[in-house]
Amino acid sequence: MFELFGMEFYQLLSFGRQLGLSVMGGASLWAMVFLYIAHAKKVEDSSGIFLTWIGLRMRWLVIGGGLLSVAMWTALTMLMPVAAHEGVTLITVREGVLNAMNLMTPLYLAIAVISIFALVKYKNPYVLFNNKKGYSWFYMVAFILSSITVSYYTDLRGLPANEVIFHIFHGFHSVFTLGTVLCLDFMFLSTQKSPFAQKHIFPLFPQISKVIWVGLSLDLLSTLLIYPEAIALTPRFYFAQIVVGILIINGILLSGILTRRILKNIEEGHKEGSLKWEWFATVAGAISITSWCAITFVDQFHDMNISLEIMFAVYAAIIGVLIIGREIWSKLDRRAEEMHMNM
Amino acid sequence: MYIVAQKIFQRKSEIIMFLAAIAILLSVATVAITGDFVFWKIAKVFYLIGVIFILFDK
Repeated sequence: MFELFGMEFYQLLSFGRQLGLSVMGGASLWAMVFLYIAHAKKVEDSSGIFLTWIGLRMRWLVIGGGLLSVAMWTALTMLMPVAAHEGVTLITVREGVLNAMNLMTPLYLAIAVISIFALVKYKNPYVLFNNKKGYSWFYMVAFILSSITVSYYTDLRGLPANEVIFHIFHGFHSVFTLGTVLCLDFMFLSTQKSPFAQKHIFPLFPQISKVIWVGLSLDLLSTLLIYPEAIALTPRFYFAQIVVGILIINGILLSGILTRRILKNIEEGHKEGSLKWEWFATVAGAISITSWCAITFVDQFHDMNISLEIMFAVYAAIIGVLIIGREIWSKLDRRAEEMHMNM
Repeated sequence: MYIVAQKIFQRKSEIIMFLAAIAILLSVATVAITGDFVFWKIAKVFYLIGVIFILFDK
């Protein structure tokens, strides 16, 4: 089987499974929240329209994440993963992971069914939620399924309480961190050409950021539960810890001064100088996504033997590619702009 | 320097989180040099305190 720098193919599949479930969980959580807030708004309040629009648009993240996780799970049932985050590894036995995958079979099948259903009904997304009561059965089911499957990645039966809590927190925190960060970026990109939509959606960003901070706390708490036996001083450990430091500084800037400046610019009607702040926000967003993906990625590969310098070189290169990619996206995606023009 | 910092960080929680991030980075260096995790654990607790401040931000 494929192996490169100590990384095995099944670990790559495991990363894909975790990424898919995180995106599915994060997107369903925030779509659910937006639809509820939109429902609670008065009819004449136009922000409800934008929140419903972004809430429904997020179904593509749920579908994409769901199908990715099911594809990876299908492949994984023939191979096997072992994982932890932040460069801190609690090795789980192959049988434990196999048992967990078998136990979770009905849930992965359910994920496949609801994802395909939403895909088939892509022209009529209103069947996915109850307009009168303001909740979405689809997002609720997607959130529950993804939360359980992302948390139960190894057999927890018979494990000591601290290890059980470690694994649950360690898996689930990705919904709050990686999944939510990708949702934030999706919202940022989706509304980039629509200042009116931004005006209603951006004020929610600091509140959403709080959930990301809580997610990172869950990971830190879980790490302290299994310290010190799970810590190995490898380049992975140093890389993940340094990236956590970068993430915190970046997160403070993104949810603090950058969001404040962008909101101020939106209120003042997008002056020339605002482009500079939007570019800074783009860079901070790219750092955020790359950092969360990088941490999740390196944690899947506990036998990885790549030097710290190479890891950071790849990390910096991906940030650069993402910034360029965002610029291209913002030039191609005109749908939000069209929506704004039609208002 | 102080004026720039004041402009960037307008909330207590932001300052605490920034300091926590610096503490985490320094603690990683400490672990690499000495192999001791005491400072690393303190930095993590510092971060958790920062999160509590952020949660109470309006």
